[in-house]
Amino acid sequence: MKKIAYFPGCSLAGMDAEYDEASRLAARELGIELVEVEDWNCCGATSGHSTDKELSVMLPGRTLGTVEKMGLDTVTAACAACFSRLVTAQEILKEDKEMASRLMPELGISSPDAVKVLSLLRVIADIPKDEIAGKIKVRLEGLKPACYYGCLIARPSGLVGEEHPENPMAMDNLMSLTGAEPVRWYHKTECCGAALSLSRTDIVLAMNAKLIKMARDAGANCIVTTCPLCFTNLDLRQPQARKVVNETAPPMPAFYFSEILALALGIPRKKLGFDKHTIDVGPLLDHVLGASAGKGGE
Amino acid sequence: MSKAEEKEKTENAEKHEWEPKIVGFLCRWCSYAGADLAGSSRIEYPPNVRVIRVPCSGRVNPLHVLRAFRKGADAVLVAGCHPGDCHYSEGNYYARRRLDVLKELLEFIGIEPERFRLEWCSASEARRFADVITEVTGQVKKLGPLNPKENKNG
Amino acid sequence: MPRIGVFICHCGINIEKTVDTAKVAEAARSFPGVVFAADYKYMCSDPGQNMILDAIREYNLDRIVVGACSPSLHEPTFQACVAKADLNPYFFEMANLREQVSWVTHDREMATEKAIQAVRMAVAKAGKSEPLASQSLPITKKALVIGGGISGIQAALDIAEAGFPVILVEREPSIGGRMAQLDKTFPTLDCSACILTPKMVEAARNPNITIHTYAEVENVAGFIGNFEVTIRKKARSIDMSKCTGCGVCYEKCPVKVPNKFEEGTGERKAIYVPFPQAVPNKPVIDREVCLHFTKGKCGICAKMCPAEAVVYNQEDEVITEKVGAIIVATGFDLFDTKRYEEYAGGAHPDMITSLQFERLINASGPTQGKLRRPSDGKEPETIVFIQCVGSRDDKMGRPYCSRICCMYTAKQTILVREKFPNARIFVFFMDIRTAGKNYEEFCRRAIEDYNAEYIRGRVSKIYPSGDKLIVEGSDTILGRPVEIAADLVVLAAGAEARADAKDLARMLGIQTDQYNFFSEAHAKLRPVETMTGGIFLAGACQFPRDIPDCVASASASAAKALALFGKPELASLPTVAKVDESRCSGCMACLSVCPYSAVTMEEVKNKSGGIREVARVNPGVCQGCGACAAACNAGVIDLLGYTNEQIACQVDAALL
Repeated sequence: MKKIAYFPGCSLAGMDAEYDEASRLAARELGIELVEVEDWNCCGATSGHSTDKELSVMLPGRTLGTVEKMGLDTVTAACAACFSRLVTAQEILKEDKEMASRLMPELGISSPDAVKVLSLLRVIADIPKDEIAGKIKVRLEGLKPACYYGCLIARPSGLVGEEHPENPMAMDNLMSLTGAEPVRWYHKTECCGAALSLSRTDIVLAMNAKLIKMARDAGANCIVTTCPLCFTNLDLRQPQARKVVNETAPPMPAFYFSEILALALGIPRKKLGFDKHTIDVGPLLDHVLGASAGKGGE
Repeated sequence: MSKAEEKEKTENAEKHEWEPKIVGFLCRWCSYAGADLAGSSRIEYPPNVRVIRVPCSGRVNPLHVLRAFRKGADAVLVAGCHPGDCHYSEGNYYARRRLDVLKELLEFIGIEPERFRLEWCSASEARRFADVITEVTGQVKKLGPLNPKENKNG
Repeated sequence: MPRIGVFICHCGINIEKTVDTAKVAEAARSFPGVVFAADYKYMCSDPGQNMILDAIREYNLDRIVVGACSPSLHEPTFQACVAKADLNPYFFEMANLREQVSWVTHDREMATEKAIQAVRMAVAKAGKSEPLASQSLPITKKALVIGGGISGIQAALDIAEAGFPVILVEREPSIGGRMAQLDKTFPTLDCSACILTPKMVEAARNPNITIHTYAEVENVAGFIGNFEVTIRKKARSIDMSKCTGCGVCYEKCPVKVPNKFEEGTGERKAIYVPFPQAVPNKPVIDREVCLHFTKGKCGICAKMCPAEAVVYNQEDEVITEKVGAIIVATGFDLFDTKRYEEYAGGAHPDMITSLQFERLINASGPTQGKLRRPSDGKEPETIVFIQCVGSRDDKMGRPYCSRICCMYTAKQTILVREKFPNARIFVFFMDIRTAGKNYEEFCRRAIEDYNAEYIRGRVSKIYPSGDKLIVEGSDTILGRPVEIAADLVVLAAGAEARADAKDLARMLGIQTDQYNFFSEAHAKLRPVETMTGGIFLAGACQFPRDIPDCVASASASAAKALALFGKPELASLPTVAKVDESRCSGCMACLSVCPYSAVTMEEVKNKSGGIREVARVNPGVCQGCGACAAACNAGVIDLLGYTNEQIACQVDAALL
């Protein structure tokens, strides 16, 4: 089994434990062992990186150094923000020679490239298609996800390994392998409102109402994401967002991509934390899993 | 010591640092024109290269390169048009074949391969030209003089 | 011992600012052979040149070195200057102190040191220079024009009217180029076809012009005044002498494919004339799609043709022509707007390019000029134009301005308004660039009289919603986001170099810039010449240009060709290879590397009476690349002007 260092970050260690669980299980089924980074610390997202450049490098830098010490050559983060911080720190160390020479010895980094940083989506998308297809146990026919990447998985272009910053396809392609039919839509990388959720909830509610409407108009029956913050805004905030626009259509379930993948790989529904979702995913899953003759379901 | 004095001191130290001598044979159609464009684009690069304009990289005889090393060059650069772009259709291919052989010979006689560069640089690649000179100068500075003790005029 | 004079130019402050020219002149006085050295503000000026002439007389100088700008700029100036004093022009050497010293070195001490080195090398080379002379060569007073758009047509007409024959090669089945695709032209709103068609016909009728359409230049050999070009005339499958252009054949053809001339907005048959005013107005069979060729069936066109002009087994014809000058007028390609995936994923039926718009609004286009939404044929009520799609966008590798889009977009808004008085017309722009005679006035009219609503800002996203396209952008003047539900979106696609421009450049031995546009010899002073003698540039193959600029550059390139044809003969290159026959062993290494077949083996008699073979260079054919000189193991061939001895002296001087 291939070992990859895994940086859960605060979201997955707390509020979004279901993402953590689903990711570990799905990865294991696909022959990847996610080895948790020892004694990991905050990635520096939000306040850290916007207040102090050096701190913004040192926080994820410590993780990079630890991974090197663990003897692993790749580190992945499921959370888009953690991933972004790790990649950015690495890039700054490559560009800013002065800072690199000062910080790297302290952080235990031998060279800025010593460890490869990949998003969890990219780690899985890099597995050969046939290999994944061969391990799909439950075909999720009837699931029509709108794959929602948000801002940090496909950007900045050139650094993150996704082919197109405006129209990434990695998640769509993965979903297709599970038998789901991802819809063609145009708001894959639109902003979810992110941390404005707390300070300007009005803006975030309007943005999310629009995202969900667009997904629905495109024919989706759920929205799938890779980022805990996107998920929170789309799932937790959805009931409020519905009120703002007086939405009458049924609520739109939201998922993490690894949850969908785990289901398709045959992980029992009960083992996954769907009860943690705000929007009830039950009817949709009944419909989809029922259609696949109950295999692997409950 | 005031900051200005300090700055002057480091500047002086930098000035008295050993400066490598690099002989550059540039083909007039591509690389010499690229060097000119670096000038009109005001792209700064180290002043260590002494340019000899030749009609084509294919004009450069390996003996010219060897003479440069014998006379005290710390590095030699031959730059011509990109493969396929030679003004005389194939001069740069001849250059590549001849000078690749030369490179092996240089290694054999104890001259580090970093001291000899064959580069393709078009008339529009001003930035690339400046980068190549900067890189070669940096590399050679690290290596130090080719023959520190020998009499350069001998 | 030569008597060398050295002159160091300040170039105003261009050199003087970082190079201590007085110090360079002072240093030069100690170089072997130097008997005079001075510095002066502008060596290329009249007083500067007179200074050289005076010094030659006063000090009896026989070699001149000028340290100034790049030799590519003023070497000819100073060569002419020393020639006035009856010195051989090749007794002149130049040290490049501006482009390669002062402009790239900020430290004055280092720059001065580098300048002294450069002058020392030039002096060393000058000390070994020999007088060189040209030979006279004949000139083939016939021109080749590659590309039959407005630029190529204009250049061909100008040369033909001066009385010289022209061969015009066009790869499409008709001449006319991009201009034939346009509806109206700015800033006069002339109908494009109305002003172009007479020129096309004129070119076809001019007895001095031979037009080869559906043909491509396949090879170019030779040099200025003496090119030999190979042209492949692709099989048209039509006997042009029999065809009357009646059109029965394509009326009955059963195959329909998208018409490239219509930018895919309309269809054509497998046998077709690309557009009604085509010159020649005779069809061509597209063998890729014709059933006779793909399936071996069908033969309707041949059956229908009353003139029996359809010839299925016609073959490509390869011809060679000798010409003295070549004008490249191959035009431009349109930026592929699909690369903007944020615009409806790259493609949507109701999102069209500016050139497709021209076809859809053109009375002879596929919709007879009725502008309708391609998706459902509805009349558009809200139309959004987006400028700078593939221009001024570093991310797309197109940081340059395409120069034509601001004006054609203004024109297109006027054309829309004339058809739809009540439509809402929006234009998203970054800046409006209307530098040209009557251009700004024209654009103001579009805004003020034709009520096009101009919004300064980029469009970040376009997506379909219902039967509309939602255009999201920002209004950077009002500082707020904008959202428009459009029926039709027109993308002002930028202009880029032809996809195969690089191949042509290689064939011709000319340079391209970083975008693959062909490079002129000098950005300001030699704007239509290339670095290769006898090859000139016209129109948008050099950089995006509008029609008046294309016509102007075409006439300029024709003038350059005519200046060449006006000479009785051509002076050959003096810096050619030369064999020391007494030492040549006849190994023929030089023969195999010469790209021009300028080296031949000749029999010579030894003193003893025996006969042996030696290499000999034809100085009229030799182009002075020096490959033979580098290949000669015995050092018997040398390249005049760049001799082994001169290079050795430069190397030595560089390392003193």
